[in-house]
Amino acid sequence: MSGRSACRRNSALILATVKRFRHFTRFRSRLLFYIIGLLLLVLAGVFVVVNHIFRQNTEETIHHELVVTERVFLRLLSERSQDLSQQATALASDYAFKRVIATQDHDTITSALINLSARAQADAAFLVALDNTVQIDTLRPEQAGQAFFSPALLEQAEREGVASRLMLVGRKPYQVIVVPILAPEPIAWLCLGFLVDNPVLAQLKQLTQVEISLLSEHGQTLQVHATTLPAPTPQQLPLYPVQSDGFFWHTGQERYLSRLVTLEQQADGKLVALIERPWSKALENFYRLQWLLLVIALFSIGLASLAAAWLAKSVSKPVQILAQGVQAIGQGDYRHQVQIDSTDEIGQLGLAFNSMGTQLLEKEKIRTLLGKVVSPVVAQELLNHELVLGGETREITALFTDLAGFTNISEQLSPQDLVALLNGYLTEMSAAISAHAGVLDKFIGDAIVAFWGAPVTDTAHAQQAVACALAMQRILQDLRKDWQRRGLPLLYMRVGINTGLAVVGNIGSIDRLDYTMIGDTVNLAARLEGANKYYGSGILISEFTYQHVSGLFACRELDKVRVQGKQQPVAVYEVIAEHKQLSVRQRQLCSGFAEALAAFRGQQFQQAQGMFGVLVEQHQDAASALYLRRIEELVSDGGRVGFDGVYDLAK
Amino acid sequence: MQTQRLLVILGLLWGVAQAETWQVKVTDNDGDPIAQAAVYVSSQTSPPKPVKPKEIVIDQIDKEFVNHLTVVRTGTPVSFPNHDKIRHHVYSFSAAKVFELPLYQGSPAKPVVFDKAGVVNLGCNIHDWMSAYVLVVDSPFFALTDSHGIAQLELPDGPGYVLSAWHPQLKSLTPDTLTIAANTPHNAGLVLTMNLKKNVRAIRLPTELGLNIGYR
Repeated sequence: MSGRSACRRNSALILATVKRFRHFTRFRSRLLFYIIGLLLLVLAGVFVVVNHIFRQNTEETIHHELVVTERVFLRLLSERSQDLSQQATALASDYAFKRVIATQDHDTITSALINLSARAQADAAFLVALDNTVQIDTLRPEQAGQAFFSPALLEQAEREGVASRLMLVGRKPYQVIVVPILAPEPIAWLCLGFLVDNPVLAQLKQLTQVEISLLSEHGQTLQVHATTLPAPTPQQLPLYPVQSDGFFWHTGQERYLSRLVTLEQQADGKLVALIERPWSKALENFYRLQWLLLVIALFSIGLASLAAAWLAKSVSKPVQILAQGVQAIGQGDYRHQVQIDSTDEIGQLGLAFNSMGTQLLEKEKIRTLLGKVVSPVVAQELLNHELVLGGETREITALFTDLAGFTNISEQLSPQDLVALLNGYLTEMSAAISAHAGVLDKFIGDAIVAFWGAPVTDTAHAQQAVACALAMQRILQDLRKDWQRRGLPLLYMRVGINTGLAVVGNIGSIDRLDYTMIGDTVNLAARLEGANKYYGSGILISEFTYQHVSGLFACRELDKVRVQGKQQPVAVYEVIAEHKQLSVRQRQLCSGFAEALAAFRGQQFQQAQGMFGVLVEQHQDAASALYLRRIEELVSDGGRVGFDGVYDLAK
Repeated sequence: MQTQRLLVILGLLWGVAQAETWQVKVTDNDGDPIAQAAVYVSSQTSPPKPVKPKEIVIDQIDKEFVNHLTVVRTGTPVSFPNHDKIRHHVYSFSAAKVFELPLYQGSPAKPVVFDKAGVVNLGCNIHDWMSAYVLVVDSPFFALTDSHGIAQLELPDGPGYVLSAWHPQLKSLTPDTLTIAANTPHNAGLVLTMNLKKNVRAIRLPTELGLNIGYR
């Protein structure tokens, strides 16, 4: 995995996260929507169930009430009848009245009877002889002398001492009471009639809280005689279909649940009571409950809204904080820490986020430090791979530099100045190496070790190394000008470069290791660096490097050397400049030196001596001077047997 | 009203002795004897000799009339001595004799003379349950049945009698009659049948009877 693609993936992730958080700004309203929706659903369910149960209960209650009311109504009627009977009994035992009857004076008796009935507030009074003929009828005087209209009532009175019945007299409903007039045995029947009219029913309604109508049934029609229902009530009511339990729905001005109660069954029809309860009145409690439910619903919706808003805020706020944190990290601010004061999962996320930031910061610190201690390329490689000891054989180009005469000047400068000088030099040089994609292996005092071709494969490792060497020499030239101004000693740099196979990798102990290189290639590069002294050159490369860079850089072959432990001699070259920047003098030097070297190797020593002499004279060429010394040695030796023009590098 | 059932037994009385005792049994329709029923001669072929009747007493003891049924001959004076410590107000609104003895203690000054045949129902104005009957008959021949429903009548020889029976609870308004023809043997087993009803009347409260059972 390369660092760049990972970085790209990271930023894509951050972008997606930010987008998601933009959606989260609606999180609050969504939560509100869900909670209130759920609440409304629950409330609606409750309402439907309550409504259903209440209506069912109400109907059952009304049914029950009506059944109870029917009993109460009948009981009240019976008690009223008993009351009236007792009144009638009391009146019948009036001694004066008995005395009046004994007079047999019809008019007096009639007058006394009216007086008597007025005491009981009776609406009608009858006096019946023991032979059941009506003697006096205050309602219908013409009935005198006729048989009494209800012999059964007289029979009952004779049997039980008193008789009472609800019946129609002259098409009006009366509670008719018959009691004997005892003197002390019966001498006549006193009969009192109490009209059952609207006020009477109104009294009963007060006690029972139901609407009551008194009707007589003839065939298929009901005739209303008295009622508590608001006027106008139709005189004739059709018969409603009665349910099996005796109830039926009666729709008048409003809807009633009704019940018909037979009060008296007579030959020509029957007297019935219609007791009913308005449905709307029964539901009054329900309507109150409905209001209460509505208030509770509104209250709970308000409360739930507040709770949802608070919950949403408590959830979305830390999420927003985290989103901002992620953005900050994405922009490289690893020091950003989030503050979430909760111990729940979101709090844990915040802690994890902060810990992540700390770790990222730590890693970044290591990365920065590594970049300073080792080459950034190596640092990156080390960070991206698991750290392992061991290496691999690769073709690399190794570069060694050294400052000529640094040991001498170190004695002249204070340590501070020395370190400052060295630091300035090393900083510039390491920058040049980095600029040429080289790996700075190590500093050894004033010496620099660098290589190309590892850990990142680079086919142009040799060219890069040579270009870097040239650049370093140029930079040093500039530094020298600076040093000259400051009166510091002038320093020169020697560079040795070799290309070939070497073992590269993490070398050292597990606690402390270097990414470095070992092998003959490396040794030769170091030797070449030192050989500069011998040849008086600035940059020395082996023939192996030369093979890679000859097209780009102008070089001159200086020598063929025998490296220790190797049979094959190695040609060494001095790098002059890039081809295109090669000056005329340099070209002359190169071609002149090449001719002279050819003459030397062809053992034309005299000729070679002349040619090198010219070069020394014209170019102050140190290498040419070296060869002049070699020719002198050879000539003085009288010509060596087996001369091959190859010298040991150790020399 | 119920139709009156009348059983008429015809017999012949042989007038030999000066006076014979006749036994007449009064039963209901089921044949059960009726006690305290009055049996009397309601008509006879020859009217009896006019005799001034003796005074008779109907007591009031412990807020009851004693006796409940008394048969008297027309013109009999009846006195109503009050043996209670409280006053009574004896009255009758019956057609045969309407009279009042307003609140008195002890014996009233004058007896009441029942001078018209018929049923007289006596009451007390201040005690509704007090009720007694005086059956006023024209004949001197009458008797009350004993617990076996048998009335002993001493009747002189005669051409024949019509016997009537009456009881306060008689269903019919008119008394039952039994005609006894001349030459009827005196041991003929005469039976009068009558239907009784339960009378409607005021009921004496248990406390008034002195029974400590209280009200219900």
